[in-house]
Amino acid sequence: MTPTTRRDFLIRSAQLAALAALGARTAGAQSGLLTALPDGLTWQKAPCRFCGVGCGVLVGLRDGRVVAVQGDPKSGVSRGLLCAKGYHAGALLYGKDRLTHPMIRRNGRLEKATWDEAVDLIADKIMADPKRFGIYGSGQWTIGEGYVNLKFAKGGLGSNHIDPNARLCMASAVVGFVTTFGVDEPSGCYDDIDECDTVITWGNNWAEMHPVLFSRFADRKKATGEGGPTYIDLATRRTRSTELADHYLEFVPQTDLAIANCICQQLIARGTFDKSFVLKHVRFKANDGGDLTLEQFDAFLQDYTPAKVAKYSGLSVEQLGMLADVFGDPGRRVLSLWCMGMNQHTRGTWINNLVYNVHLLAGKIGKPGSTPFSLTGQPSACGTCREVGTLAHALPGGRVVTEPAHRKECEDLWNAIPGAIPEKPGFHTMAMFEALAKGDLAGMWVQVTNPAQSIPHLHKNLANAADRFVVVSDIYPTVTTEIASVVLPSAGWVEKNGVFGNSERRTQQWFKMVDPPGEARDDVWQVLAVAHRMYEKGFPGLRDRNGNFLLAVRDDDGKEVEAWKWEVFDGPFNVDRALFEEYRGLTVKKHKDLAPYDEYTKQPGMRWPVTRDASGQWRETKRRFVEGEDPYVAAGKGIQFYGAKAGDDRAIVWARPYEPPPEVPDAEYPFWLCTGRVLEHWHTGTMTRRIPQLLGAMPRAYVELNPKDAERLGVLTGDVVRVRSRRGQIDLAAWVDGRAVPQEGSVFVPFFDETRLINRVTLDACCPMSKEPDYKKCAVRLEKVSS
Amino acid sequence: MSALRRTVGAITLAVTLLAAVACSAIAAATREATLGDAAIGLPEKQDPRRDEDRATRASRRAFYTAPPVVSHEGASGMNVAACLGCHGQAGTRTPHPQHTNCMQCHVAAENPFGESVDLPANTFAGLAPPRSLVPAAAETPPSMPHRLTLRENCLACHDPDGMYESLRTPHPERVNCVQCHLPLPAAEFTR
Amino acid sequence: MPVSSLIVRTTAGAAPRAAHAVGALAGVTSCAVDDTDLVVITETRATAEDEALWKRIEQVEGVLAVELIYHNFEDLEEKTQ
Repeated sequence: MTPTTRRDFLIRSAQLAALAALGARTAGAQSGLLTALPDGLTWQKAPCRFCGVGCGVLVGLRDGRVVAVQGDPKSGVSRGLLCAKGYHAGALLYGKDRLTHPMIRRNGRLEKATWDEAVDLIADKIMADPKRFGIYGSGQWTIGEGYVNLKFAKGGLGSNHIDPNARLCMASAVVGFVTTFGVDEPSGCYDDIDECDTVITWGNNWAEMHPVLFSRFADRKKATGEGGPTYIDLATRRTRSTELADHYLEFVPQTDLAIANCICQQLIARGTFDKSFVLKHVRFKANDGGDLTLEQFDAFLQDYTPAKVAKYSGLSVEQLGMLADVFGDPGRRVLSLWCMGMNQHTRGTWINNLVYNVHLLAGKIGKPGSTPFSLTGQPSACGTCREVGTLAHALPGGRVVTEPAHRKECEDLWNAIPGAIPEKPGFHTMAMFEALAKGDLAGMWVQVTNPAQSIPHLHKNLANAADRFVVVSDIYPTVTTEIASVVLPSAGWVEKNGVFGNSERRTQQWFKMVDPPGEARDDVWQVLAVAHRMYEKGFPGLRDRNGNFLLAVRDDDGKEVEAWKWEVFDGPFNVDRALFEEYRGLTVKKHKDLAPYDEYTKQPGMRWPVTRDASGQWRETKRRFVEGEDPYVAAGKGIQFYGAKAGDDRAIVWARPYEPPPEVPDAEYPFWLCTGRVLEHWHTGTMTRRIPQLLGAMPRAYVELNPKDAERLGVLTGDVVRVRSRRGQIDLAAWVDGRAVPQEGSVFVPFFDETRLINRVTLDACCPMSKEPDYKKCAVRLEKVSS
Repeated sequence: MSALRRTVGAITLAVTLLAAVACSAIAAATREATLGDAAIGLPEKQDPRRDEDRATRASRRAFYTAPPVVSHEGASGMNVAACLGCHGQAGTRTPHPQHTNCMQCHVAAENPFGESVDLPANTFAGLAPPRSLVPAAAETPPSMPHRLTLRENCLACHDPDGMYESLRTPHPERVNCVQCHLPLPAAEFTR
Repeated sequence: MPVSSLIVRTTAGAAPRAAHAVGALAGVTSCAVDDTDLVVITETRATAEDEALWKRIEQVEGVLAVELIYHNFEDLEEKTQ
């Protein structure tokens, strides 16, 4: 076509120039996620190694090493942004003291050993007493790692003694979901942060713990200014998050239970609850499980009028009324967020239920921008622990060991001997360590976690651990490897293939990018090698119905791959893909459907249920239980809580009372102690304490005081203060007027520092339903030691 | 490109796409032809302070494009208002004013207790800054060696009051930087 | 009568909304979306007007940067006669 006029010609020239410029700049980036560059630098996608937000990172690689990390602009989670931990994640692989060879304790000392010796010893020890052997893993297990461990323990050893550290962080959220909705994991997603009118955080410092999500909201709030979204920070401590808050509501620890009930009481008393939603989608239950009418539920709530709750919660009648205004406003889209403040709680399950109560009564769920949303702390607490089911009572895809049909489905898929999986749940985390201390467990294999630092009340719970047969797989020495009988060097993060699942049901895959150092090897291989050695030695549990290896890894044609041999595992065959494809078959039952592995290699991630539409495309689900978004909701239902145990598609509003905490400050121990994380460090610091920029910024644990308390005690920043509880004591530098201010009469101590273990001080009281310990509340006394 | 196809119009696009594939260099050529008339104050030779500035910048970063650590004291406990008190002003202005959770990415170089710290031994070797920013051809505006994400406000670093002398623009009267300076064609820092 | 083409860079997810807003500005004759980039064609009466329009595009929510790719400012009326 020749242009008809000069103007046409110019416009076409303009278009041509723009498209050529665009094409030249994006052709490389758009051809795939791996882009080769002239100077040998390549970028490859992965989810971040650290928290449960699941940011998308691009890992810059040159000459077989990680040299840079940038945010992946294609990530639907982080949109090109990361936090300080993410940007510095590359360095986590390169600490000088990486474990590079197996070690076996001989005469009290860890000595270098070969893989063959280590595998052989572990196989023998487990075979000697397989039912008294536990596996303690983590929310940092990849999906493949969790799956192979679960199959090994439950199918192979005939033992349900497998539990993850996620017990210490997400168990209350899980039991909360299951008791309210009948099925685990949230309805909403991060997109709700972009669409809400009001965010309420319940005891959550997301500016430091989930910073990329906080920024997603803070940037939006700043860009929209007046008339933009509002933020209510309901907390026990002023934090960096509080800086953004329109309202800071400081409550007395544990009274969140009463505050949630008080909101419900007002919604009903004022008639501002969503009547048609409640009528259609909700039923009421008493704390003992009996059915209640709305009137009976209202009667229960009469203990929680604003006047009564104002007496002990620290919130005024006006503040409690304001919360009811927010939830009672029918046009307002409200997003509740929480994490450890609610989960690490002696009534963690109840407070999860209670926040769901508020949202269910207000009809604020299943609508864009309106949802209760439980944040998570580990990169695959959802994907592995909760979905694969690496818990003492669970099986993959939302199944439980107590259901005969569920056990049979797994045994059939695995071709395991019928009855291989025991019916009785195994030891949960806290019981597991108690059993190890008492000798009810003879041994334990710890992978991807550091319990000798993270378990509460360490003196009691880690007693005698060094006398048992403890295998520890890790990338660095930790306080846990110090008590190990065998230490196995592992491959970390992008030194192996992996898949993680984040807080918003998003499954994210990555490929191995660099070689692990020395003789370090993947945890999946370690399990396969030990299992195969046991099979070779004739251990019956590891034979399937045909006498073949139970943990056989097969290719697409069903042919067995000798994955227990390192040279095969390390070769071109992708074992992670094979495990994922096997596991995927188990995800459909409870509508947690995953797409084929290869789909996840093409993009930063998809949120389940992922199903195929009429055109054959794999489609993710933003919001569960919502018609038009979730393919499992029947037409015309609007909202369908299809997980409901009663089969009535209704969520349950529970009448959960306030219950005082087991230990409260008194004359002898007058301060509350709350523990948690800081922005610079992640969990027990095994990785972040090896990163110079992060350790330089925050070298050690501290005790944070309210300025008024500090003045009374004559304590200044840097002074050494002894924090003493009924269980133990620890000396820490004080920090006053720092980045956060705990309420008067309370102190905060981070737990990342292996040289100053605050868990010698903490209480090990648990939520009786979730068995999750309360790291947020116990009583301590402070003594100034030196200036 | 499917979205483009619909909007630009089928006929133009048939011509355009063929041409786009054939002549990827045309954009630069067009730009030169149409904008080459103005006299732009290009630096006559390499700025001698560049090496020093490069070394200072590198000392605050784990790798080129990593967020710098905060080199002044008191940063650990600082709030956003305090950060922006200075970093909202010319000279030390933030290049990404749309993000306000400063300490999310910029950790302090000094710890709050003023202690000396034995930094962990780590063999991570970060990506070095590009060696040369000299344009490929004379008279061609140099490309950006970094992506624009988180550096949306060019003048934060490149204005005449900028922190690093060698990064200051020689032609501050021209404020629409991306008109002439495009990110490097490599996907390295562009996307 | 200046004719220009621009590549407009937007933040992730903002492209469709930004395209809508940019397309509505007087002087913008075509606005197409590609991932996080917009390809915009403008036609105005004078160079100053053109420059003002680019500035306005920069102010649209979600827009990160406006890159001028092509700019022609000959007197069209005369040429087409």
